[in-house]
Amino acid sequence: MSITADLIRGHTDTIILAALLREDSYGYRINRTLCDLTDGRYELKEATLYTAFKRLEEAGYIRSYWGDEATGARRRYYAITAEGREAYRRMMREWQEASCLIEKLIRFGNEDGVNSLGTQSI
Amino acid sequence: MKGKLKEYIDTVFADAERRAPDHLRVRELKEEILQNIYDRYDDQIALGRTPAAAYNIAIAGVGDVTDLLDDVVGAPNGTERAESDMQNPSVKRPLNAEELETVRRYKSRSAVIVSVSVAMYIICWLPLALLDGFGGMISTTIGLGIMFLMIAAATGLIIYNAMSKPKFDANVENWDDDDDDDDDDDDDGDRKHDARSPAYKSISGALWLLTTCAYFLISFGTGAWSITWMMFLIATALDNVIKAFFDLRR
Repeated sequence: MSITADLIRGHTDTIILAALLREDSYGYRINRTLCDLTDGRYELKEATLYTAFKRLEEAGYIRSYWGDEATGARRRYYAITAEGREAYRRMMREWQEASCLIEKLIRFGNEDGVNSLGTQSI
Repeated sequence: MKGKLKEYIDTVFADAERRAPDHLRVRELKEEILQNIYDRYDDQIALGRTPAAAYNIAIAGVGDVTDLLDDVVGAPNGTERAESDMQNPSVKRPLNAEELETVRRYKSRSAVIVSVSVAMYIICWLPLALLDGFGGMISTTIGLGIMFLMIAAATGLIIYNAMSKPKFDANVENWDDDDDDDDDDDDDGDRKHDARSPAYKSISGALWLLTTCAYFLISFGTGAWSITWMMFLIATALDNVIKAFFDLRR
């Protein structure tokens, strides 16, 4: 799990932007979405989440506003900006390129195209 | 339990709030994170976790916000960092000489008070037995009166003793290490979070002593042994009501 966590850490910003593509959301709900999406295997600490919010907001990729819930607690919502969508597309391109390269590199020498887990390569 | 979550967030933010009082961003961040852990706590409860387990999970989800807060209010310089380590609740400083003296005085006084109270419980039947020897309704009543006065005085002393226990600020080592002999903890969680208040412990202790006294008195007096055992059920109910009262007040 710790190796997976290290691999994912560099993509926290992309993950948060992706979560905001569909709709504006607030801290805990974003985390719940990520958690549900991965069957509880991935969840951000508040510290990580809010550090990323701060970074993204300063970069102009997201903006935030206090919601006006008629009932219940006050929530701060985060929304993706046009620059944020642009950044998300760029990050996706980078990821696809990188994962493609990594795939090729780590399969080198594995001629039959079958990895150690026994699944067929692309 | 929500109060304890709030307390936890208060300690996490204490340092940043001290360095930058009334900082808007810190206040907002605190409100957001607090709301998040309330939500997480509620979710865990809804999943059927015990309050103690839900508390631990909610707290664990926060992570280390030190860097984030330093980033918001500006990193402290060297000396301030050393000082802020002192404020960190996990790094507790030992008692200083003055506090040690206070604790020592309290402990010797406490020993006297508890001994006298216990002695009063033990001999409280004596006036009744002596005065009863004279016969007659009045002397029996006086004997009973003195006995209950003694029980009341002893109970009062024990409660006073617990309430006047010296307390220091949160970052001081817990000097009272014989405090964790908790009896019937219902939660499987961390004991530390469930330590009952000293006042509750004394009241509960007194309640059981009084129940036992009353049980024997009434049983011997009326001979209704077949029904008087119900008093222990009533005492259990009372004990739980008192426990709930103290939990709610936190």
